[in-house]
Amino acid sequence: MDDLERQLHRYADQVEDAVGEVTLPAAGASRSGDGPTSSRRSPLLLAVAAVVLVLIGLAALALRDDDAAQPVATDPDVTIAPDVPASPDDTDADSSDELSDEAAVPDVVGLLVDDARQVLFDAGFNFELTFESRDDVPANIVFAQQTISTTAGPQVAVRLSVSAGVAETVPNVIGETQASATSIMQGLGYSVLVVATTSPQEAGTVIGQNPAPGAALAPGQVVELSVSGGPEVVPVPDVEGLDLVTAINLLLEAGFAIDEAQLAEPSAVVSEGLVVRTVPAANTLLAAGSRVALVVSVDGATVEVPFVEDLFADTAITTLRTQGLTVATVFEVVPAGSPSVGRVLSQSPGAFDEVEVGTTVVITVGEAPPVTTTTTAAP
Amino acid sequence: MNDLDFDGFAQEAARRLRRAVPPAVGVDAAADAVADALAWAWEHRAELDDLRNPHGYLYRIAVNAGRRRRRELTLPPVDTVTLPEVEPALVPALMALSTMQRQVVWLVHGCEWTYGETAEALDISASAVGTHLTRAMTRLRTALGEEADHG
Repeated sequence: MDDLERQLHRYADQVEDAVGEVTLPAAGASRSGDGPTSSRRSPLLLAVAAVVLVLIGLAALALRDDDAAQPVATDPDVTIAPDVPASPDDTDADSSDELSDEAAVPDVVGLLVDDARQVLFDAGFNFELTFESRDDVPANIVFAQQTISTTAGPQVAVRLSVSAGVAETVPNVIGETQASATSIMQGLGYSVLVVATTSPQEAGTVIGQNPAPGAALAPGQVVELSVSGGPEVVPVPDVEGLDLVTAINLLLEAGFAIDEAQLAEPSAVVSEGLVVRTVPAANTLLAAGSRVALVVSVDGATVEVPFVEDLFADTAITTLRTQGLTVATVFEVVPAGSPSVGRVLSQSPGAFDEVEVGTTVVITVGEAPPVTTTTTAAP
Repeated sequence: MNDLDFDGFAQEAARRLRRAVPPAVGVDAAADAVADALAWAWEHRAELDDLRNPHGYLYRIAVNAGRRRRRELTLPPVDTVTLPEVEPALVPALMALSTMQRQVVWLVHGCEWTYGETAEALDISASAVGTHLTRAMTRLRTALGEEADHG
């Protein structure tokens, strides 16, 4: 952070303080009755009522003489050790009548924070969470609970102390699913911002995080998680006839990885050393990051020259080319009307010779003589 | 999002927005603007979980709410007693920036939001955040540098 950035940050502190207190909607009238918990007593409404009553109680206390030292407002009942469950007997006697069936505060020490919340919520208790870094307690485990009861109202609240794990460094969640990474981070008191990206990883997998694992970060700060949206699908580029370096660059640019296992194959079409084809073939749709193997043309492959004599020229040419041979045609005049017109008279190299792929085979094709007017002298 | 989750969320949102919103709507309108945004959040609490970046979304709502209030856009002068390291010319220099530049530079450096968060809050791309930030910082440095030269 340079000096100007630091100045901005410090000035932001001042501005933040200059903004008046913000009324949270929790205390607003719109809360009554329309919440998801309307079928039961809203713990929030009761919490607000409890706070008001506590304040009234405190005010009343202050108005009395100073000798009234006995705290009326709160009666904390702390259970730190996991083996000491919260007992209903510990709650304030004045409120126990009204609590009746809810009097027993469930012991949630040792539970995962989410489970503890559920248990308390189901039992109708209000609660608040405080996160604390602990070396001896795994993250997200409730290690202490404190019952806060008031003499003034029926409401019992429970303060849960939750382990935030080892001191304030960002854990590594790369490779986790988005859901579990988010719950780990939130369990440590971090806010999570999910950034969707495409990657070869399975959709929903965390592939990156900022700050990096192990970085120091105070709870309440934001951890940015890059989450894979699944692989992007890209067609394999056509690299036939290109040299290896160019082909590899094209494939890398298109987002593919190159398979080390390079294949070799003789080719009639592609010169030695150049790329014949890819595996999978060009234009196949693949996930970006997939491996593509290159097949390189090699020299020295041989084919057997097929026997094409007496075939019609076009059939012969097709047959030879299919074998990877190149064809050159020469013509030779044969008598008009001869069955040899248009057919291969001879071939060189001869049939059944082993030749290199790409060798030129010369075929001689019969051709009718040019039409001439022959004037025969009368005998 | 149930009521209890909402309370925690609202506290966090209020904390972040109080810091983030003032340069966009002025320090006078900020508290009401944030309260408006949180009231909106309460009305729509069932949908908050679906938002990718609810804080960024609420920032946008707060800014719109603040602008509707049409208060004068002012920022307090630098308190040179508690912040001797901050150049008093920073405030006029900030006010001289375009609204977008001021918001970007404030969110990124004043509030330490990531480019991603800033981009979503301002409905621009992350690379646009970078561009605005670079220009804004250049203008701020120029303004502060000139101030130092002349003063």
